[in-house]
Amino acid sequence: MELTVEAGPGGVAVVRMTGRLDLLTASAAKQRLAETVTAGSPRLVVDLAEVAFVDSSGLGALIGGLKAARLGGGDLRIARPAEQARVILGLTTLDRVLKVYASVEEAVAAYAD
Amino acid sequence: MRRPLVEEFVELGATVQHLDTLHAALDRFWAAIALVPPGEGNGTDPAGVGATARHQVSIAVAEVGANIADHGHPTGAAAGTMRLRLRLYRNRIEVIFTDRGLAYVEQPRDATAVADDPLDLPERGRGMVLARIALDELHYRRTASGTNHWRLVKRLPG
Repeated sequence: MELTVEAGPGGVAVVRMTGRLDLLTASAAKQRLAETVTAGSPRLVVDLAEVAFVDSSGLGALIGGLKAARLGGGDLRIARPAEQARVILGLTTLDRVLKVYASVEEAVAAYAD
Repeated sequence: MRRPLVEEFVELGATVQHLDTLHAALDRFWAAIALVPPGEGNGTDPAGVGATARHQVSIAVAEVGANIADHGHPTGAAAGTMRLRLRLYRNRIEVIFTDRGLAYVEQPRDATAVADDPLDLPERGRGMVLARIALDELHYRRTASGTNHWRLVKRLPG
């Protein structure tokens, strides 16, 4: 899995992931999310458009990132989840706490509300 | 029992690094199902398998496979393998895993509960609960000779 962090408008960090977010990659992803918060960007948007598969460990990484972001005074929001990611978020009902947006722009703009 | 419409079999190393092989087998299985003529299946989709059912089965297979690799064959144990058989029948998808790792021990807590405070959410322990939710049946048994045997069933509409 590849992961890049870009500085978006309003100090929001846009985290783009590519590949599978699973048992093999979750730990590194969680660490990068926490590092981004520690570096001063607790407002995260995770773009999942290019993530083909998320498993329970991947969800754990997103929850870990959410906790770090909340403790830092921010939040973690999901943008553009692929169909499989939407299914697993729905099965676990985690879509109640991980807010999902149709685009990165919408997710970033929602921080201004 | 009727012959399956589609069958895929793979044997892979029971380690996290081999989960690519499991996903490749799933990809081949879904690709083969897409080639089944509509009359052979039981719905409007190829062989009656909709996208949601496909994702649910993939999620369950990945979780059980990850559990076998992560808990059944912990670091330091002798390298083992797992066998995965994916079958499409007219009215269901059936998946069989076998391996000779440690016995599965069910965790009592329900990690799928969504806490009021997200800071209380567990980050681990969701996998097998998720597999159960995604499927219609999930059976486990360990044979007297020490083989773990998993049977996953997803019923198809029709």
